[in-house]
Amino acid sequence: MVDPERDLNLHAKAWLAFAIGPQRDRPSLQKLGKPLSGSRLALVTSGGFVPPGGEPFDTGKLGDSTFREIPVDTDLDRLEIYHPHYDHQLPRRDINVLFPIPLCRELADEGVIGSLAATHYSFMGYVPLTRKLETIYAPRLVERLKSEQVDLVLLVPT
Amino acid sequence: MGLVARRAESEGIPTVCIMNLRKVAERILAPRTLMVDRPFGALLGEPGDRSGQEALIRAALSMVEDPTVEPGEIREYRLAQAG
Repeated sequence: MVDPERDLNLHAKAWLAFAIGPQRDRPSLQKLGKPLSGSRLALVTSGGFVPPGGEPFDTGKLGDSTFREIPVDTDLDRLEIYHPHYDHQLPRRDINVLFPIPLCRELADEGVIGSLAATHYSFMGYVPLTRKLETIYAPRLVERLKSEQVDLVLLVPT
Repeated sequence: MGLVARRAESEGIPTVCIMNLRKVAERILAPRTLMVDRPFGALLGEPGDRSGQEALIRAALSMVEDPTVEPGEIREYRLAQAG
């Protein structure tokens, strides 16, 4: 049994106290309107990935609630990582453990999913204050998903 | 991630979240959550474990197709599912 909290440093434990946050009410739930094999998938991670030359995330105490757009054809070996709370060697060795664009591209080629969206997204998982995330950046990201006719989203935190 | 998923779902886009901390998952209540017994930074599997990663992703995506899933459901991922 893995104890994911065991390896966290103090900074990350403070983050966790915030991350637990208030108890949320029951969410809405949408049905997939078409078969998975005909659906367009977008990936969202909180791994702190930044495309080559992109603006770094702020890894300071106040965190960063913005996101970066990662075009699907980005050279993933050139992604930069700004996130203080996990071992970057894991996705450096195999990006599929956290941001599985290559694996999902194969699933699209095999017909398991219909297609991959043209754009995928990364936050930096340290967001102790969530107001801007909820009122500005999550809505902005959802508008991007809609503009690319995304049918479903897989979210993988760090 | 759960907050982003809630927003997407409220705007009509189905989602599934992978998570490894049950107490966070239970508070945030993403629309659909698949809990994994994995460390931070590699929730989808060991580097190089292509088949294990694929099995987990397929299990997550299948939640979106499963009509029995309740809003806010937190499902445990079992390696046996990879079978």
